[in-house]
Amino acid sequence: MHEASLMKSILWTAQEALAPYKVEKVNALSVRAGKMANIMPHALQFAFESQTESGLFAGAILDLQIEPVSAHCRQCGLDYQSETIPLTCPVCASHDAEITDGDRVYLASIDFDGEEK
Amino acid sequence: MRIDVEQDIMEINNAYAADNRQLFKNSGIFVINIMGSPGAGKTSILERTLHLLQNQLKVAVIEGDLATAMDAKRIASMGISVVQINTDGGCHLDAKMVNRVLPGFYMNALDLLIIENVGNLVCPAAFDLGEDLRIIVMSVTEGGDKPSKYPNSFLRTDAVVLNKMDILEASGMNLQQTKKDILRINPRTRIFETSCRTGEVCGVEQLAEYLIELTQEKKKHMQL
Repeated sequence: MHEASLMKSILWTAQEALAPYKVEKVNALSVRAGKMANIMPHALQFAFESQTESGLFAGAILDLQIEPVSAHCRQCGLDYQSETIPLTCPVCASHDAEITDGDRVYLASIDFDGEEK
Repeated sequence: MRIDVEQDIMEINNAYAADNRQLFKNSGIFVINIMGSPGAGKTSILERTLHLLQNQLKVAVIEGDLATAMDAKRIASMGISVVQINTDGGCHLDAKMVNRVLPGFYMNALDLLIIENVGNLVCPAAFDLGEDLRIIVMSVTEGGDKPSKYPNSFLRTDAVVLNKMDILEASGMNLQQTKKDILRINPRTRIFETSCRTGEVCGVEQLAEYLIELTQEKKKHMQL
């Protein structure tokens, strides 16, 4: 539901990252989001398109990767990844787990035409 | 050309949350973030619990809503210090919003701060406010399938309050199955059964005791 404000932060972060460069055209933004970050891919895509109709990111594409949840089993100590919730340890079948990753959103990389200032 | 950025987009929120957490720690305040769907009974639970807490702890409340100060007025009428945050349509509270209103409280005089989040079972879960404890209020009329449908929120909560127990039968919810589903997602969750309308179910007393115990524990820890 908050994909629009999230996209605003992503574009702001991208703009900061591109500040040292003379940019002709931004081709793509790569974003990685954990499965627990509550991101709806099509809502993020919609926010991206509506916020990049003009300006620095006009014409760029959004490359979104959804990542599984990383968890640490509190029963047997196994570190594992899961695509689904409830988290279930593949070794001891316990649901008692600590989430170690998969709840974050990263601006991974930017592909663009340009050069260093 | 391609540049690797690897920047966490939530970092701004997380930085404010860390700042809040430090402020709370310095003052020895225990902080609760209450979440749940609109109409689940978050404010009613708060009122009922505050009645039991206010003689034992110095409590303040932050009310989060899209619009109006209706909930804040309900709390203020009990003589409790309260600040309203209106998100103007925003679907959740973030750590910066909370940070901005903290100067409105005399922090060193408080034991417990309760933050009632915007009515929404999805977005608030993704935003750390710097709290010590998360509570989800869920009413039996919402249907027992909600924990399975909104697993992210339930996975990250410390306690679930099952409210409107007085109309459990009419709601058709399978109580045992719902509890099982909650514990399957998060085996460490505490479950409280309440009825704010009748007050007959003893869950509110248990919830108040639980909160008093945790608040005193944090204070004790701080004094050591």
